[in-house]
Amino acid sequence: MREENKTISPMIHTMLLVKAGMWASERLSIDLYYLIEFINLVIPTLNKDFLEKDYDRKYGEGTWNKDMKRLKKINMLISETKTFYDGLTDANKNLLKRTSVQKRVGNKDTEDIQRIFRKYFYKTSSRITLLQEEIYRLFVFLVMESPIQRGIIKNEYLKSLDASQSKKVTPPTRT
Amino acid sequence: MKLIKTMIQKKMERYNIYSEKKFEIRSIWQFAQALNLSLAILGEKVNPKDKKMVNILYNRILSSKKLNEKQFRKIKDFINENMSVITRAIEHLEKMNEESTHYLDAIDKDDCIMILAYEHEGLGD
Repeated sequence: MREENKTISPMIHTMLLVKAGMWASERLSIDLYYLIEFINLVIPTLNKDFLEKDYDRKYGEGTWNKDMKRLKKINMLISETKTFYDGLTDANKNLLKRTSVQKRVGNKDTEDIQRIFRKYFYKTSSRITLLQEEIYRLFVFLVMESPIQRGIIKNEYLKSLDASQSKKVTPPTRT
Repeated sequence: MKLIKTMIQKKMERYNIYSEKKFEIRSIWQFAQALNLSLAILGEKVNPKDKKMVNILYNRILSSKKLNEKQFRKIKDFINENMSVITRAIEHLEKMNEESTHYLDAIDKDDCIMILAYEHEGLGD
């Protein structure tokens, strides 16, 4: 770690740890969104010129610019996907096939909207690849170059899975 | 390094929970994230053929909204083959932690903070 990057503001440090915690323990949200936010926040915090030099020295000439372009693209794809995902209700966020009972109980108008959201969510999310080494390489490099590497994610930053969230959703009953 | 280790552990925890509950798409995603991190730490790459195959299969599963048994089995094989990468990454992180026992690490311990405070107040004289 360079001398210039040894200290960061405590507030940013906390923000980074919160984002790291959100990414590590996602539930009913797009976890990659928090990872990208983490990267977007770290880069301006650290000295960019040194980062670029060190990154190119470590992974080869021109990789920094290449990976930055990739980051820009991922940023765009993630924000598109999140728009549709946020519109889904919690029951639909489980991405399970709906049962006939659920279909019968649900309100038709809202069901139509949800169907559209689901459709576009699948469409946009399929553009995000499963294995993408550039983003994670960048992430690991940034963590190694900053004092955040010694940070400990507090339990309150980690969302825990409670019983209701980890079960398949059952339809509401009529009274 | 503690941070990255926690992240991999949390991702694997989630992978186990989701595969147990049969949220297959989510479990594959969680595993892939842990694998991506592990590969970045070790500085390794997945075989490009495997990478392409897994990305295509995952997108197919995602777009069809239901699991095709053959496609799913292929992804499961990929997961089993690459489980060793994650264990190697965790071992690597532990080794790095042992090697870089920095002096400041000691401040993390409660008793050390107490000693520092004691000296600061001048009670140690």
